[in-house]
Amino acid sequence: MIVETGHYALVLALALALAQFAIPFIGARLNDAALMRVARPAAITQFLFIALSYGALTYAHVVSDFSLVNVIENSHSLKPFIYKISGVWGNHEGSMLLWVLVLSLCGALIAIFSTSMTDRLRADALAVQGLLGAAFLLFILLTSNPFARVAPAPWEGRDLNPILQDPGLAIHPPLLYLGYVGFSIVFSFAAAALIGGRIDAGWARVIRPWTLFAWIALTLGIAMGSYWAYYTLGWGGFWFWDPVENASLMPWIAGTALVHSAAVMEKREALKVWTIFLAILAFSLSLLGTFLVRSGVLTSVHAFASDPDRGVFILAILVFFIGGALALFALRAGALPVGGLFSPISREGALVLNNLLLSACCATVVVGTLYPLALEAITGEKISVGAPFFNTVLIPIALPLALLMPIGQMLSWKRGDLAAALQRLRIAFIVGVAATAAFGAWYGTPFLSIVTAGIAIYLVVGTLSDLALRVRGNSGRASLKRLAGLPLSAFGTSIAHAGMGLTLLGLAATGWGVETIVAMKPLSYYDVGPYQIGIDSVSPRQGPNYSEVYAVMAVRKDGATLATIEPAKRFYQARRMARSEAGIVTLGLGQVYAAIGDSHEDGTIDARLYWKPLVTLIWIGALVMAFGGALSLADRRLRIGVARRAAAPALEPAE
Amino acid sequence: MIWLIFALLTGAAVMAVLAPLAMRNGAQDESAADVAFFEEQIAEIEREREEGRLDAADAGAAKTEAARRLLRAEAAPKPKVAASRKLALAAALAAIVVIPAVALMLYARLGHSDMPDMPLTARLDSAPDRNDLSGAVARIEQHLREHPEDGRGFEVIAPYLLRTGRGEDAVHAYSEALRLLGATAARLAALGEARVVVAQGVVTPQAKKDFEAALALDAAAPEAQYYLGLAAAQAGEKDKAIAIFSKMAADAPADAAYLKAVNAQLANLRGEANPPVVARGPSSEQGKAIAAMPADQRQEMIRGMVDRLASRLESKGDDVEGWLKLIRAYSVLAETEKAKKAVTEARKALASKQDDVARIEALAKELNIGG
Repeated sequence: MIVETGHYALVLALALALAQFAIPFIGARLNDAALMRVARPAAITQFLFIALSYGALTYAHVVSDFSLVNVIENSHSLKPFIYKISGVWGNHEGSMLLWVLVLSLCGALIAIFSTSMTDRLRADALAVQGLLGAAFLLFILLTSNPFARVAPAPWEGRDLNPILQDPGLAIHPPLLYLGYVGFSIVFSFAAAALIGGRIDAGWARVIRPWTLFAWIALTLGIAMGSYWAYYTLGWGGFWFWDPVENASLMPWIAGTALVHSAAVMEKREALKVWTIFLAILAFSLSLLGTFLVRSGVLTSVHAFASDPDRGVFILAILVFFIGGALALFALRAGALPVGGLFSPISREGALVLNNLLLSACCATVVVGTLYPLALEAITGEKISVGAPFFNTVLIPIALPLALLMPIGQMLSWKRGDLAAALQRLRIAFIVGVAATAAFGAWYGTPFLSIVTAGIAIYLVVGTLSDLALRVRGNSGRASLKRLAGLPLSAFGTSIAHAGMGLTLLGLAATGWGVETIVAMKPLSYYDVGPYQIGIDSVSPRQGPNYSEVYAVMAVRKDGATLATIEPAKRFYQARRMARSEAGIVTLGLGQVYAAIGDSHEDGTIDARLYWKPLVTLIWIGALVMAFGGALSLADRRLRIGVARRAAAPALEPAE
Repeated sequence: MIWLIFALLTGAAVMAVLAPLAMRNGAQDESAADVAFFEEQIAEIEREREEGRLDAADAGAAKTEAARRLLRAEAAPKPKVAASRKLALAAALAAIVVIPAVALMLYARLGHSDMPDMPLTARLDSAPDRNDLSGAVARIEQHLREHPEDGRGFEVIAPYLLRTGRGEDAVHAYSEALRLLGATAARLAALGEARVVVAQGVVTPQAKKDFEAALALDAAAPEAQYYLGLAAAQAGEKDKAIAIFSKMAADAPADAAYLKAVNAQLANLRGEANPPVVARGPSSEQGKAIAAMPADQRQEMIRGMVDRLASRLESKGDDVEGWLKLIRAYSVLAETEKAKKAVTEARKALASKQDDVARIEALAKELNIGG
C-alpha cells in the first residue's frame, strides 16, 4: 500500500506541476493576482507529493520489496543498510526521481523564501519551474517508472553495481543534483524576466544567493566525485576528461562566470543582459549533461541502462527548454535596459575579462565533449579527445585567469588604478617568483608544473594580501576593528580565490608524482618516491555480499614503519563483478596510493604503487572554495558598489 | 482503503490550488517591490556611512544614484493588477476537473492498486506455497543466515543451488555441510562436483583434492573415481584415465547409471588421437567430429544445427522430442530468452497433447526457465 501510494503521489505531482505552470502563467498575462497566487502553494504541495513518493521508493528498497522491478534490478536482501538507502538513486529510475525531487525542492524554496519580489516575477518563475517539473515527471512516468511491478515477485535481487557500493554514493549524487538543479532556479528567474519583459531592481539580489548555493553544491559534488573515482578506480587518476565528468564541469564553469557577473549586476546594475544569458546557459549545460548521461549516448558507470526511447524523450525536453529560452532571449534581450557604465580598468572590467576567459574555457569543454560524439554520429569514426587536447587549450586560458584574479580583487568599482593595484601586489609577485625558483631548484622538471605552482602560490598570497591590506590599520586595535567591520563577502571572495590557488597547486604537483608497477614479493621493499612499500601478508576475507583478497602493506621511511595500508580486490557474487579497493594513506599533504592486481603462484602479487605529493590540496582547495562561497552566501547585506578608493569623481550612470 | 488514501491525496492537491483562489484580498502594487528595494539600498548606504565604511562623498554619490532609480521606479507605468472573481472561478473549476482527471487516467494506465507491499521478511514468514520451490529455498537460506550451524539445511539446498546456476553458492553450501556434518565420501564428492560445474567442466586442483579425500574414505566412490579419471584425461594423461575408467566399468554393477558415461569416456579416449574432453563427451560419430573442431568453429556448427532445428519446428511443430532438444540446447548455450520463447511456442504447438505438454513443463521447471 505504501508503494502504490507513492506511485499515485507521483502521478498527482505531475497534475499539480501542470496546474503550477498553467494557472499562474495565465494569471501573469491577464494581470490577475488570485491566479498568480496559486504558484506558491502549488509548488510547495508538489514538493511534498514528490517527497512522499521518494519516501515510498526508499521504503521499498529498505524492506527489499522484490515486487518492484527497480528493487529487483538494483538491490539485494544482503546489501548493507546504507546502500539500500543510497542505492535508491544509484540507478536510472531512482536518480531521475531524485532529480525531480530536488527540482521541486527548488520550486518550494522559491515559494517560501522569495518575499521581496513582485508577484508577477514569482508567478512566472514558478510557472517555468512547474513546466520543467511536468516535463521530467512525464519522462519518469512514461519511460523510467521506478514503481513498475512484477508478479510473481522473485526472492532475490540482482544487487547494486559494485562500483556504486561505496559511501561516495551517499554524498556525490545528491550534491551534484543540488548543483545541477539549483541552476534551474536561476534559469526560471531569467526566463521569467524575459517573459515579463522587465528586470526588477531586486532581480540580481534575488538570484545571487541561489546561484551561490547551486555553485557551492556543484563544487562539492564534483570534488567528491573526483575523489571517489580516485580511490575506487584503482589507477590513481582523479579526472579523466570523460564526457560524463565534462558534463558536470561545463555548468560549473558557466556557474562560476554567473556568480561573478551577478555580483556586478547586483552592485552596479551592469551586465544585465549578459547575466541573464549566463543564467540560461548554466542550466542548459546542466540539461545537456543530463541528456549525455541519461540517454545512453555514452556508456559509463553513470549511464546505468540505455534505452533509445529515453534518449529521444530527454532530447525533446532539452530542445524545448534550451531552444525556448534562447528564442525568448533573442526576442526580448534587445528591449531590456542596459545598466551602469564603467571604465575598462575597474572591478567590473576585470570581471568582464574573467567572464570572457571562463566562457572560452566552457566553450573548449563543450567542443571537446561534443565533437567526438558528433563525429561518431555522422561518420562513424571513433576518436578520443582527452587530456592532451584539454591541457593544451585550457592551461593557456586558466593560468592568465589565475594571474588576473588577485589583480581584479585589488581594483575598485567603476574606475580602478591598475598601477596602484600592481603596487599592492608586489609582495605576492615576489613570493610567487621565489616559489617558482624554489620549486625549480627542488624538482627541476617538468617546467609546466613549476610555473603553475609558482602562479598558485602567487594567487594564494595575492588574494590574502588583499584582505590584509584592507584590514591594516595604524595600531593592532584599529586593525582588529577593521577586521570585525569587514563584510563576510570580502572574506568569501578571498577565501574562495585562495581555494582555487590550493587546487591549482595540487594539480601542478601531479607532475612530481611517482608511479611504479611491480610484481611484489613478500617481505621485500620497493621505493616509491621518498617511501618504501612492502607486503606483510595477502589473505582472503568475506564481506557481507562480496569476497575479497586483501594485502597488508607497510609504508616505511628510513626503516621506520609510518603506516599500514590494505589495498584489496573484491568480487561481488550477485553481479559477478570485481572491483579494486585502493589502499591510501595521507602523509603530510601527499598520499601513498596502492592498488593490487592478480596474485601469482610463487607468492608475488601485481601492484601499482604511487606517491602523490600535495595531491590532497586538489580537494582541500575545492572545500575551501565552497567555504568561501558559503561565507558570501551568509552575507545578506545589500551589495553596493562604490569606488571606495577612487580619487576621481564617479561616472554618471547611464539613464 | 488504498482508494481512500488516494482520495485524500487528490483532495489535498486540489485544495492547494483552490485555497489561494478563494482568498479575497488582493492586488499588489507592481512597483512596490522595486521601491522597497531602493529604499532598503539607501538605508544600507546610510548605515555603512555611519559605520565609517563609506566616506561621505562616496555615500552621497551612491545615494544619488539609488534615489534617481527610485524615482524612476515610482514613475514607471504600472500595469493594472486586479483579482477577478470570474477568472478565479474558472481556474478553480479547471483545477477540480483536470487535476483528478490527469492523475486518475495516468494511474489507471500505470498503477497496480491491487498489489500490496511485499517486504521480503513478511513474505518469508508467511505460509509457504507448496508449489513454490524457489520460495522454499529462499526461506531455507534466510533460516541458515540466522542459524549458520544447521548443516542439514546447507545439505538440502546445495543441489538446488547448483541446478539453478548459483554454483559459487552451492560450493559454499556443500563446504558448510561438510564442515558441520563431518566428512563422508558422498559429501566430498558432491563438493568436488560443484567445483567442477563452477569451473565449467574443468576438474580444478581444489576439486581434485576433494575427490581424492572422498576416495580415501570410500575407495569405491564412483563420482570421485569418474572425475579423477576426467582430471587425468584433461591433464593429457591418457593411459591413466583409461586405467581408471576401465576399472570403473569392470567393477560397476550392470545396471549402474553412470556406466553409460564411463563407456562414453572410454570410447572417446580410445577412439580419437587427442579428443578434447568435456564433462559429458559426445558419443555419436558426428558428435566426435564436432568435438574435434576448434572451439569457435564448433560453436558455429552447434548454432547452425540449433537454428536448423528451430526452423524445422517452426514449420512442423508436432515433434515433442525436437522441442525438448531445442529447449535444452538454448539452455546450454545460455540463451535463456530464446529458451523461454521455445517453451511458450512448444506449449502452443503441442497444445492438443497433454502428455507432451507435461514433458515440456517438466523440462522448463528443471532448467528453471519457467516461462
